[in-house]
Amino acid sequence: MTVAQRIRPRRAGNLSEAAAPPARPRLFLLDPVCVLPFGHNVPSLNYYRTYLAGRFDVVGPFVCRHLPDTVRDAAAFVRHFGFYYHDFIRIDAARDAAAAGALAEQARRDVAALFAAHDLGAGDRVLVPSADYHLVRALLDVLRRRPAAQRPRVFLRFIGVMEGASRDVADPFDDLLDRMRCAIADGLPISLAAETPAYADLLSVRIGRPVALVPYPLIGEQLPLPPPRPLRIYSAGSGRFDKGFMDLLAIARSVACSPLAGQVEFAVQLLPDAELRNVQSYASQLYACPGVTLLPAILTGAEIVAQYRQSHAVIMPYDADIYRLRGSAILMEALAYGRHVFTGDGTAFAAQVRYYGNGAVCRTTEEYVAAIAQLAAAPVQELAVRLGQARARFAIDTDAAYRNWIT
Amino acid sequence: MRQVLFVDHAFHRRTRSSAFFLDLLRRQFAVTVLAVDPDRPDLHALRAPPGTEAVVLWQLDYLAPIFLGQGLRTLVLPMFDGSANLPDAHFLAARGAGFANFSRALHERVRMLGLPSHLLRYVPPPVAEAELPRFDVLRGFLWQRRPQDGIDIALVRTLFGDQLASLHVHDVPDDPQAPRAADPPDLPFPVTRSTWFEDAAGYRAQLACCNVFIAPRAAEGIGLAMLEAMARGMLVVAHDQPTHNEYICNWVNGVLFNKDAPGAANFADAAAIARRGWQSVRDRHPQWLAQAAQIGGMLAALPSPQPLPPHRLDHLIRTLPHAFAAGPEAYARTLAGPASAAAPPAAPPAFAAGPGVEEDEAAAPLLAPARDAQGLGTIDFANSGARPYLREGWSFDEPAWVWAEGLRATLAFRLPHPADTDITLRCLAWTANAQHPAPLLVGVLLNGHFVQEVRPADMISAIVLRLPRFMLRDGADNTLEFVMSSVFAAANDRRRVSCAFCQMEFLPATEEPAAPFRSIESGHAAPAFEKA
Repeated sequence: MTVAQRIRPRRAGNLSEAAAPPARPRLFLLDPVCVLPFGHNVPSLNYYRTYLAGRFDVVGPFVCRHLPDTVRDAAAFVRHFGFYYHDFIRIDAARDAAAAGALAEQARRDVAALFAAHDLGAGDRVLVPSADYHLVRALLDVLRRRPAAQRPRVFLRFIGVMEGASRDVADPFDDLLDRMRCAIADGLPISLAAETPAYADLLSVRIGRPVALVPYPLIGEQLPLPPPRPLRIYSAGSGRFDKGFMDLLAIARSVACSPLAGQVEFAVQLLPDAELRNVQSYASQLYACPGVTLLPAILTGAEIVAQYRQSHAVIMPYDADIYRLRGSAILMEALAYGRHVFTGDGTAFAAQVRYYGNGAVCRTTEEYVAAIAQLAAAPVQELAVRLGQARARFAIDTDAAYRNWIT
Repeated sequence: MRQVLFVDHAFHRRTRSSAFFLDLLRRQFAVTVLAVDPDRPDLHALRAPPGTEAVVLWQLDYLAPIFLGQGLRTLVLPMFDGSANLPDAHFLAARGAGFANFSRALHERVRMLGLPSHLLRYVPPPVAEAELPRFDVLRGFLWQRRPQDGIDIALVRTLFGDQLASLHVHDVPDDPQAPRAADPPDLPFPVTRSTWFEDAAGYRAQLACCNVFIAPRAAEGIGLAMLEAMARGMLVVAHDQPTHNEYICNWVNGVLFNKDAPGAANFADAAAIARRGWQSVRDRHPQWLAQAAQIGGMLAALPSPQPLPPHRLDHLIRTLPHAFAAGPEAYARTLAGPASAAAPPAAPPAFAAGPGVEEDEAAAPLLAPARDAQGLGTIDFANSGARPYLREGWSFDEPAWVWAEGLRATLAFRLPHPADTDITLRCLAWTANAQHPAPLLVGVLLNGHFVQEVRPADMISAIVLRLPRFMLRDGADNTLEFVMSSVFAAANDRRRVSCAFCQMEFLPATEEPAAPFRSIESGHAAPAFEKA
């Protein structure tokens, strides 16, 4: 008799029935836009896979066929979908379909093949953590063609990135909302959520029913803060123009010319090569700026965690127009690891930063410098407690949100 | 490893700009120095002394193929001012070497070509804070080294106007014969002058009388004079090019100007900016010491290249230095391999007479070991051992390069071990598009599956192909097929050829998207993949 058998209390009745755990529903994680070795898609899927593994039998993630095999953090991903977004994202693969409408048909075939291969039924769940136009449209089509008993419940999470990415129709986002309204009216089993409060409210008004709010789930443990000096600020994720890469120099320069000089360091991930080659002079000025360290555009998950470990804060001067409705995985990472956030006003997640109290919302370079000075003056112990409190509140909210949404 | 050959530009015996690096090497290795004058190279000296285990090329990057051809580990330190305008083929010709770059811009360029590069940032020790200069008035120092480039007294007047209390001109141009403008009249500041000092102490004594340093050249490989001035706490003012703009963040720790469109500037904050420059040196010097401590390991980690056959090495030593000295066109033709340095630029390569290779249906050989430890293998066309790989449609009559003869050419190879990723195939191609009815288009098939279309640029171009793992055969022959859109006939040659290829390298494909996108160095659109 094993140790486990000795300590497990016997139950009355049939032993094998009593020992069998209740069957967990299968959860299929889908993201056909997961194709680049950088960006949010790969880490996002890993977050969901980890977070939901306790409640579901997670299958997948199913991603684009063209995701490079060499992406180390995507070793267990299933490369299933074609790529539907050549008009929006440049990848190193040829178009699978070119004619108008062909992409929609290709996506529908991909979804149908997935459903057939895994014999999806009413007991299964499908989660799309970053909804995109063609996948959502295809899921609705496939669901509609299946008998009610063979329709899995589909959870669509809108993040405001690829929902309107199509050349097939004049206004793809409106088209998608129309299709969802019809699907809901026809009783298709779909549940909607958005990443940010602003986006959830907008979708709710447009669709005419409540839309859940589900930020990224909290992954990772709070890390101890490094020694107080130098104050290290991490610009996390591959550099991007819409994530304020071109604003970082002004902030770093202003800090270097302030009384904070020598006390603050910036660690900045560079742009991917395709963009970097066009802004080499700017990158050289960042490189020359006192206190700035440049990091590669692509870091592994372990390297990213190491950067958080060495840093006190993250900086996110994201474009207010582009991020008016969008959230950020970096915000969740900063909350999870217990790091302060500096971000711009006008983004959807600025309200979350204000609500959880885990950072500063700034409008100008001067406000960034003032906020950095304020953080530099704060006792580290006090900072750790404050960030721990923000983390705890966020964890409670997100856990509740996911338990209410995905059942 | 103990014996290192340090190959340096002869001019540096005078400027001693490589001395700090040489000293660093001498702490760890027995170093032999070879000073090369690129205009009058001593070809016999280009054979490394017996016992040499590694070669360090300081600025003379074009010599890398010669030392690699001797089977020597080679570390190349290109300088931005000397190499930034050279074509990609110049760097690709040093495949198998390691690179260390003092310029970030050059480092990125080399890295984006798929070559291994370390980014170094040399920072001298700072002077003690008590020795920092006073800034009650601004006293300028200009080494008028290249007045023909516009960095001269007139430029200083434009930038500073009457903000300078004095200007010292160290009037030692690199080329005394170079044309220079007359000094402008009515300068708002007094000017003193010096020429070559007896020793460095004289130069430094003069520098110590000043607190503003105008960098003397448009661009630098490292910028030792600029860095020394920054380390002394002087305000450094320099043209906005590497490496100046990689050490100076404009108006933070120095000032950058555009020598081609200069304007008056306000130097009221000179003292604060100069102090931040000194602080930059103080903060970054320890980082340089840490980098310097790793250079021995960097040398030891270099891959050991395969030596060239003696006749190929002789050919390279005879032709490469002269071609480089003869100018960019001759150098590019020599890099292109099959072309003779004496041939006109647009002419097709000179052809040697001889039959094409006979078809060999034996099992394909395994790829030869890669020069780079990370590589899967190579096919080196400079080596007669490459012949068994070549199947239909090749002419094997020229050294180093093989011509594809006719519209279709195939080669076969076996992988040394099963591939667990896609494979990146890199090679150099040479064609003369003017000889083709339309620019050459090459379709590439792997084991019968279409992989990619490429358009080799005129003359030499780098081609990078991604061979999908699912198309590859483990433990069996893999056939690469090149299908050409057209052929041309060279004068006095019976063959009809299309494109010549140089050494092919097989590497595990990486996550890095840039290398596949740069499949053709001339900047054409990235070739698309096709599914099988």
